[in-house]
Order: sequence, then structure tokens, then C-alpha cells
Amino acid sequence: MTAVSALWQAALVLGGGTLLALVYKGFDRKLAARMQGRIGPPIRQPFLDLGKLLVKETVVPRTAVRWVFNLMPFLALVAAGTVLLYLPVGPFAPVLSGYGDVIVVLYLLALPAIAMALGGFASGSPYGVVGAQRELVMLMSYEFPLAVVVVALAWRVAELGAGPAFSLATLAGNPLWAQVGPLGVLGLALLLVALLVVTPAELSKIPFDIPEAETEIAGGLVVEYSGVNLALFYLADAIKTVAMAALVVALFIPYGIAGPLGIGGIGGQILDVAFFFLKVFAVIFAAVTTVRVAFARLKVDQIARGFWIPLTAVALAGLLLLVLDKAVVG
Amino acid sequence: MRLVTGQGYWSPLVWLALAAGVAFFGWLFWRLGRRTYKAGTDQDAPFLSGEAAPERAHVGGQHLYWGFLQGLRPTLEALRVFHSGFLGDYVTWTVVVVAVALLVVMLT
Repeated sequence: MTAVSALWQAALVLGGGTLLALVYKGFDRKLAARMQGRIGPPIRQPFLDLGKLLVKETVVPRTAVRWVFNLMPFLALVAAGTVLLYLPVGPFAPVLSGYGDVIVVLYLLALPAIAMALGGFASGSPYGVVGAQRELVMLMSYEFPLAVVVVALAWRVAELGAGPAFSLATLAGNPLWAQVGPLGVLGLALLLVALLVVTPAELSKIPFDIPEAETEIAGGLVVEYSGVNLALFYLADAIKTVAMAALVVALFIPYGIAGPLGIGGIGGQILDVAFFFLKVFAVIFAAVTTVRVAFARLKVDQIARGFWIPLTAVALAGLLLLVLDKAVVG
Repeated sequence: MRLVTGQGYWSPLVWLALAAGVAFFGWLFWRLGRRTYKAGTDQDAPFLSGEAAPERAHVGGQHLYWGFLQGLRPTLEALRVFHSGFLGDYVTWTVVVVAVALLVVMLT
């Protein structure tokens, strides 16, 4: 792949991913509203929101550390945007396949949360600081079960000898469901459950939206953000939602539809990409939209305990079952 | 420059190059926004639900781990029992843990 070809692909993935992220956000809001018995905003509402934020004043509070406050929305957008380039898109390997693996993806997914926390601290607002502290506590809580899920899958793929085990191309190219016995399938199901619970936390969505908690701390770490700075965080959040869902798809449901239907060539690739978009949306609907409608916000201590003890236990049980399955099945 | 571990890889320079590209487009987007406001007025005072801002509205760093400690208090209290403050106890724990780890490594 030449540098020019890679740049075109990167531009396509970034541009398409950003548009898709905003469209998914529109669907998410519409469907959530319908489930709550409301009409809801139009699907294009996220685009209108961005346009509105562009004409709003971008206020920097007088108590803020100005350069950190202004820099963090950029850092969040850069991290969320670049993570898309390390993820496979349907039948296509990641644009940066060979230049970053799933460990890089985990770090880049954590970076927007850290940027938002730093922005909250830098705002000098008590609400912002409380929100930032909550964001860091949550980050410390969900990272361990997330790491267990990824390590468990990579270990099992490494046992297959299919290539670099932490490469997302390898992980997506070797779905484990058909490679393991009944114990392994149960283990994979537990790991999938753990990852689906981590997903809304990684995205700070209800019931894990304590860093923002509008009704409690008035927006928390973004309380002082406005105008185009808030628009950048908004974009980063939308892109990160798609990236997280694409990670779930790549790790657990990387299957295409063109092969079973016997469709080859470009038509098959287009069908597989469309099916990938559908799977990403299904993950967002299941792990974000439905969950945020069905649950109320948890407290920070409940989240810390929930992720460190029961969810870590679920993830470790999944890993243990994969190990036992390997011992039994071989 | 690419770090290859055998099971994965990472190229910081490639990431930095693309990060610069994304940041550039982010900057173009940022330039579209309205960046003016009335500095020095109530507009740039921190939001405190309409309350008058105290002289030092500061949330201390010691509160950072509150939720963490509160949520895991029983577990942390159980761990605290092991912290006797005696050096001999810590050395004993180190020896025992290393011995168990070595045993596990030898058996596997």
C-alpha cells in the first residue's frame, strides 16, 4: 500500500466515520425518545447541534488554565478520530494494520476520557473538577475488566497460531466461536457480556454518566465548555461511540454476509460493509440506546464496586473457561 | 520506526503524523466557530447554579479517590489488616508470594 493510497483510505474512513457517527447519534436519540414515549428530535439533529454550537460564543472561564482548557477538545477529537484507523471496516483490514494493535486502540479509547477530565480540571469550576474526578474513578474501574476481555481473546487466538495475536486484523480474521468447545463458547459469552457492560461506561452514557450528570452537577466536566470547544467534544463523543461499537464487532462478531449468500466481487464487499454498519448500529442500540433508556444513573461508589468486583469476576470467569476449554478440547 | 513485539506492533510516528492531520482538520473546524465573548463580565465567571462564587471555590485533590474508596471499602479494609507496619511481615509476604509464583511457573 503506497502512502498516497493510505492517505486516501484514512481520509475516507475519517470522513465517512464522522458522518456515520453523527447519523448514528441521530438514530440513537430518535429511538431513545420513541422508547420513552416522546416524538424525539429529527435524525439530522446532531448536525443541527454542531451548526448551533458554531454560532455560539466560545467562553473560556476566567478561572481556567486557558491553554489546557482549549487544547483538550482537540486531544479528544484526535484520539477518537485516529482510533478509527486501527479498526477493521467490514471485510477490509484496518487502514493502519501493521502500525498499531488492539493495545493501541485501548489507549486511544482512554485518551478522550483523560482529555475531558483534564479539561474539567483546567476549567477551575467546582462542578468541572468533581466531574473530572468522577471520570478518572470510572476510568480506573472499567479498564481492568476491559483489559481482561482483550487479553483473554488474544491469548486464545495466540494458541491458534494464526499470527500476531494482538493485531485486530488477526482477531477479526479468526472469530473464536467456532474454534472452541462448549466451555469456550460459555467463556466467550461471559467476555461479550463484560464488554457490553463496559461499552456505555467507556462512553460515559447512562447509567454511567456520572462525570456529566446534568441534573446533579450541571454537566460536570463540560459545564464550562461552550461554542466550538463543546462542538469538538461532541464530535469526539460521536466518533468514539462508533469506534467502541466497531471494536466489539471486530472482537466478537466479525462475520460477513456476502460469503454465506454466495455473493463475490465488489458487490459482496459492499454488502459486507453495509452489514458491518448494521452490526455497529446493533451494538450501539443494544449497549447504549436501550441501556440508557432502561436504567437510572448509578452512584460513583456503585460503579467502582460494580466494575472491580462482579464485572471483573465475570471477565475472569470467561478467561478461566477459555483456559479450561483449551485444556479439554486442545 | 515500528515497535514489533511478535504478538503486536505500534508505530508512534505514523500515529503522530495522522494525529497532526486530524488536528489540522479539527483546527479548520474550530476556525469556523465564534470565538469572541465578553471577557471580564459575569459571562466568564464559573457556573455555580446562580450562587455567588466564593473567594476560593476549590475542590481538593484528596477527594479524587472518594468514590473508589467508598465503593471498595470492605475490600480495602480487609487489605489494611495485612499492613502491620512491621518490616518482617512485608519480607515474609514477599517471600511467600515469590515462592507461590515460582511454584506456579514450574508446574505450568
